[in-house]
Amino acid sequence: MSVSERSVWVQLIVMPVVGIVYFSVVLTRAASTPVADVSWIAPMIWAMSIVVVGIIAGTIASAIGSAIAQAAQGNEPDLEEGDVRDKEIERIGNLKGQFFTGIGTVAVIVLCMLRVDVFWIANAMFLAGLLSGIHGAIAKVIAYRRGF
Amino acid sequence: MASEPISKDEISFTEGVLYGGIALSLATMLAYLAIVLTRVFTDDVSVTKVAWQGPMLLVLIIGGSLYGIGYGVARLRHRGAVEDARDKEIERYGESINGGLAGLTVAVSIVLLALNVEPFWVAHNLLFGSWFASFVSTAGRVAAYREGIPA
Repeated sequence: MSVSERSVWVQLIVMPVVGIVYFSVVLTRAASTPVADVSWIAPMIWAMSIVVVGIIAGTIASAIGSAIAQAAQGNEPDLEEGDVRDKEIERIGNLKGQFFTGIGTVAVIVLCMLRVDVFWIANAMFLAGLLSGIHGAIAKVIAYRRGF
Repeated sequence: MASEPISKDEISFTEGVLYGGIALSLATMLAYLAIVLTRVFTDDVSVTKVAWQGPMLLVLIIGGSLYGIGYGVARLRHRGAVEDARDKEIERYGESINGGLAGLTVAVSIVLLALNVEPFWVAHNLLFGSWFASFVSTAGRVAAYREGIPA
C-alpha cells in the first residue's frame, strides 16, 4: 500500500469522526441556547486543525506501523511515495468530491439570500466541505481496491 | 464504413461542450454584473444593501437551464461516442485544478462568516470564487486538449 493510499484510508476515518464530534458539540449547544449566541468559531477551527493534523499523524503512524510489521516478517518495507496511478486516483477523488462542494455552494448562496443566522450558513458550508472530503475519499478507496 | 480518427485540429464533442460552456458562463456573469452594478450606481443605498438576490438566483437558474438545454440538443444531434479515454483524462485533470480553487473559496467564505461580515460578501465570494475556479479549470482543459496534459 502506497503512502497516498494510506493517507486516503486515514482521511476516511478522521473526517467522519471529527464531523460527528463537532456537530454533536455544536448542535447540542444550539438546542439549549439561541443560535446567535452559540460559539461555533473555536470548535470549527479545532475541528479543521484536528482533521489536518490527524491525517498527517495518522499517515505517518500507519506507515511506521506497516514498516515495522513488514520488517518483522523479513520483507522490505513499502514506503513508496506514489506513482502515476496514485495521481490518477487523486484526480478521480477530486472529481467526485466536487459534487458536494457544488451543492454546498449553491445551498450557502441561497441561505445568504434568505439572511438566516451566520451559524447556519457557516455550518452548512463546513458540512458540505466535510461531505465532499468523505465522498472523495470513498471514491479513491474504491478506485484503489476495484480499479477505475 | 469505419469512422475516421479525430485529428488534432478537429474538436471532440466534449471539447465543443467546453467552448459552449465558456461562452455561456461569460455571458451570464457579465449579465449579472451589469444588473447589479447598475443598481449599485443608480439605487441610493450602500453596496451591501443592493437587491442582489433576485438577479443571482435568475442567473443561476437561467445559466443552468441554458447549459442543460444546450447540452441536451448537442447530445441529440451528435452521432457516435460522446467521450473517449482522453476526454475523461482531461476532465479529471481540469477538476483537480477546480478542486483546489473551490476549496480555497470555501475556506475564505468560512473566514468571512467567522468575521461576521454581511451575507452579501459571503454569497459574492462564493459566486465569483466558484466561477473563477471553473473558468481556470476550463482554460486548463482547453490547454490540455491543445497542448496535452502537463506531467
